[in-house]
Amino acid sequence: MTASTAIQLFGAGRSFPDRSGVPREALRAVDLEIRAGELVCLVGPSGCGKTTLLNLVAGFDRPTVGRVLVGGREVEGPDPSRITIFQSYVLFPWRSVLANVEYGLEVRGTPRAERRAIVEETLALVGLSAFARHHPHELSGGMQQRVAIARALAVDPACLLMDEPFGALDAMNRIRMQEEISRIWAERRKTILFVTHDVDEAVFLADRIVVMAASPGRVKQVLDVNLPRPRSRTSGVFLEVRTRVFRELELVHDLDPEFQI
Amino acid sequence: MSSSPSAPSTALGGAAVWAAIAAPVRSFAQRRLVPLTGIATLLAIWHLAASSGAYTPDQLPSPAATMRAAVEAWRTGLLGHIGASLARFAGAYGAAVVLAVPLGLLLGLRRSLWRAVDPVVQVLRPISPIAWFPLAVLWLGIGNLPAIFIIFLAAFFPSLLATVGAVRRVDPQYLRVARNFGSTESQLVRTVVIPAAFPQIALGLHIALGSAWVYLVAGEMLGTRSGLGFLIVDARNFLRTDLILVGMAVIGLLGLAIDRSVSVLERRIQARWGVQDVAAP
Repeated sequence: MTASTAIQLFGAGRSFPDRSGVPREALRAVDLEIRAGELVCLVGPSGCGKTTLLNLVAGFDRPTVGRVLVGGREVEGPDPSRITIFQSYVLFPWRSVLANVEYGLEVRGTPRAERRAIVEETLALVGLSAFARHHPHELSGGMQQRVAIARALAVDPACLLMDEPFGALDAMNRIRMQEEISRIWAERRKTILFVTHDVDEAVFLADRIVVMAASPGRVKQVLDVNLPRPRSRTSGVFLEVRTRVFRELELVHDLDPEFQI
Repeated sequence: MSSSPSAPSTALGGAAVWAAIAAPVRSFAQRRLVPLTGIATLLAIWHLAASSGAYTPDQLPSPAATMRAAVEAWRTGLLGHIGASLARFAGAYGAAVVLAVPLGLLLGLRRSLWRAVDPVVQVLRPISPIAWFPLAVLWLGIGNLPAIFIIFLAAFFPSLLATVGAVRRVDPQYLRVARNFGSTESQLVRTVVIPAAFPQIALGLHIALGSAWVYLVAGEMLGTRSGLGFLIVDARNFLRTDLILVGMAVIGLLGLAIDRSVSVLERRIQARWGVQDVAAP
């Protein structure tokens, strides 16, 4: 594994056969390199292949052309070194918060005492120590997503793959969770690949923003966000970057309701 | 339970006091008394029909006569019959569950295996357990075993199908997450498939419990010398219609009691699992 490169896509694309069996490009060949510890956001309209790209890195899906490497090794399936976080949290409802966070360590065979110590530390990191004995359905959406993040962090993955993780939350909670994830990222230095359709979210979080376009799904432009952290959502430079992203999405003049200011 | 709207400040204080008294009374009436009116109406119709003169007491004994027969049955070993029926039922139902659930897990997980077994199950399932009577007697003689076999059949297929369905309906997202964390296939079954399917399986077993109880009498008509089914067959042979009705009433009431206690258990399971609403299969 090279020290600096975490995720590499070499001409990686994915086609699905349509109803008549003709292959249709869901994602046109992508070349992309993500450094270890980098936070990269994928932004684009629905149908641009951003979730397809994420699934290729996660190993839930395989590319029909090209190669996907993580840590220098070809991705052959899902692996605990890269954990996906879903919009719908996908917590195990029959397990307590504690047992959910413990899950990955349990299947890995970590001894109980060590497990408990890691779980306690991770729950403290996401601010849910007081809810260890609760069940997921007793928590709000934001808290449930924090449990999912803690469950991922407990196995100490190199990469976090986040698929519109805050899409189901209201605006205030979304902002709170964005601050939370940027704090956790600063503390744990994970490589994060983050899918969103919220431009503000991308500008607030990302080192780089991969702007994607639809039909066929493809990478249109990769933008560097050279803003100091912590970022202020109302500063002039923030708005400048935001405008650049909107321009790339071709939404500056023709505002899509999904991206309204 | 909806609380009554609070009285406006201009209303007499008495109205508010009255509402405070009336609300719990009304809720008690709705929960406890309303269901009783149905039973009371049934008894009234039964009483009127019995005293109308259209039927002889041998054809339709009155509720009061049936009550007297119940007291008589109680003195002459009704409890023993109830015990025998419950023991038989528990054995048959228990055996069905113990076989159907693991088999259902296996068939639910192995798609190709289920494709092979599904037609067999679909052919056997519509055959009423009663149609098995002759074979049950030929194979198992008369007495306990054929009765247990009939109840077993009535419980087995619904339990099996409920388990297979529950396993197949496990949210694939759960499996995705488990695999992401590196679960092996056997860990997947133990840590995800079984707990995720459990509320649905419990519901299926509950339904199977009810349908198997229906076949208790049928099973116990195959030459047993005890049990509620035997009580009814025996009463018929002596033309004791009042005792037949006692047997029927006891079966109904026990069925109700079993169903209610399982419902309580099921609600606890669902609360623990965080399930709001389990869809009926």
